[in-house]
Amino acid sequence: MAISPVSALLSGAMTKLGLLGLYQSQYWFGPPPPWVGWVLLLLGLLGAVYALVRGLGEEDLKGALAYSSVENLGLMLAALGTYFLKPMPLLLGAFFLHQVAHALFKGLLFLGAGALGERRISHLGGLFRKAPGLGALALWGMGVGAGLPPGPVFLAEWQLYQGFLQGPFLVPLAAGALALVGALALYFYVRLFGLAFLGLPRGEAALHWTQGMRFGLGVLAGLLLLLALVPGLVLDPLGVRTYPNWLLLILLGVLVGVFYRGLLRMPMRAYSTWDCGFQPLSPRMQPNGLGFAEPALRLFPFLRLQVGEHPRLFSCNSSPWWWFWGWSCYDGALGPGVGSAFFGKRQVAEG
Amino acid sequence: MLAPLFSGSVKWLKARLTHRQGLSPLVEYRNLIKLWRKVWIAPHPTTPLFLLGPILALLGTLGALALLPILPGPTFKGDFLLALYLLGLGRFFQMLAALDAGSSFGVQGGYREGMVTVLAEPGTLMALAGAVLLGEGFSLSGLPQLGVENSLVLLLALASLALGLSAEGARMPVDDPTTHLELTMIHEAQILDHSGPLLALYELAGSLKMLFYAGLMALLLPGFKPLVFLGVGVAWVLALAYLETYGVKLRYLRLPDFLSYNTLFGVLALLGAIWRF
Repeated sequence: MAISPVSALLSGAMTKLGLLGLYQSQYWFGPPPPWVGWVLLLLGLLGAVYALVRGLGEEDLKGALAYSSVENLGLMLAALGTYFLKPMPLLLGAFFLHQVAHALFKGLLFLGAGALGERRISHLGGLFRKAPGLGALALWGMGVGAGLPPGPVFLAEWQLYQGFLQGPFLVPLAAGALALVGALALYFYVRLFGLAFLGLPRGEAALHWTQGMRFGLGVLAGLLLLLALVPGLVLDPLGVRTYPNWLLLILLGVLVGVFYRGLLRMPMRAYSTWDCGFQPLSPRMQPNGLGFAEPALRLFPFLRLQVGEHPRLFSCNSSPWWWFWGWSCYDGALGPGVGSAFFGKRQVAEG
Repeated sequence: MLAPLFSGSVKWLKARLTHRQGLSPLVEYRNLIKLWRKVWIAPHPTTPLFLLGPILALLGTLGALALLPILPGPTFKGDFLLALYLLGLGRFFQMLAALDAGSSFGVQGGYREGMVTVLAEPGTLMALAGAVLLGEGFSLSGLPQLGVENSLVLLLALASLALGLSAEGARMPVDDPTTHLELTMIHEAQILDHSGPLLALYELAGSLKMLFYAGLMALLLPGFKPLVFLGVGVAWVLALAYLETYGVKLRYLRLPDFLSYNTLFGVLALLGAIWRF
């Protein structure tokens, strides 16, 4: 895997070139036929869901971030596909705003991951207390990445939802897929941030958190903030308008500040975490990376989780007849296939 | 303001249904005041996220409620998406705050909440989007009211919102608000280490969240809005109290089966809105 600044460049900038080429192709070859739009839309949405689910089981912090890049690119691809089906400025707004926002927040997160000496999520933990600055920047980047308001990625998704809902034929159903992506992204980033930065430290992770990094990450975070305050920088040339996001951002910021300071002034007492009154908590009691993702992985039939001494995740081995008998999934059970409706479920051997 | 009365009434009715005297329905107000005056405990491994959890859970829910056009408030194109995502903002920080104390219960609550979100969110959003598509102006203020010609879509949307309330409001049959057994709790596991004023914020946010879903349902029903809102509230108190007295919580692994109905209703509502049947 590449060193972190290179990862940031690859994910932030290089991956956008292909998308830009796809966008430009309509000027080179004329308006694309509708099937191109459908293919891009379906590939984008399926890729986004698949990448997030795979990323949920990823142990390497940078690997997980790379899966998140696939998810974001999938959403941009879906926006472009829908734009080819029905040209709406909203969709272009979603496409370009998402690109800029993704380049910034993913650059921030990849560079931040470079500060960690340990990249395995299950061996991290409690980093926020060691480096609050890094933690705060990563929280901002991951909150934006999870598509939460008032971040710029949410603005892009907000436009994408509206574009989908006004789309032709069955395109509005894509809003459901986008909601699934949103919920999975929430889970995904809670897992990354929560396991790496919060809780009890699971190991002695070395940190290379230098003044220069602080400055670089700060610049990227500031640019993200600027984009959230003035999305018009990207959207105005496209003629798209959003709700007053700056108002929401400032209002939330002020109210959070007021509550936070108020609560800190109230009487408080430091004490240990509730441990049921038995032996004290140990870091090993916290679920690890795969344990945290397990309930979600259980829902998706294209992955299998091997539990035991060395838990690991692998794709389901499905026979070429998966569409008839159903695909093999978690614990050897079968997902629904065309034939299973008539012949009942077929059990497959473990392994 | 009404929110604590809502959850208090559910508690009171549940007590009456089990032949207990029960506390007055106003007990939740007293509970909140009591909690607000107490000392809060900061567990050793915690960070500022521990405080941000309850604060943003409350603020996100308040923001979503402010977008409901029952009271005069801001309204714009696509405000329903912002409202649902503001609830998501609260949930994100609530899950993080649960992970913050380093207890295994908190983390369990966190990932369970995550799974419930993954299951419930798409259906609720699609159902609401279906109702919005039938209305005007692409916003909550233009939501259509239940009538003859749109009855199918709106009934599906109402059913989906009802399931969404039980899932996201952490009520039966998805979650049991009274349980504190490690194996079963979802919402309670996340707030286990929060005490005093922090717990008060969480409790308030929880009842406000239910009020938000009740408000959405009231918007879809015809009639004078504040009265309909009260009616929906009373109906929910009755439904929840009976369900939580006589029903049982679903096994955690059975939740996908239960919430797949939510997704189904959502898909059907959206299809109905596209093809106008």
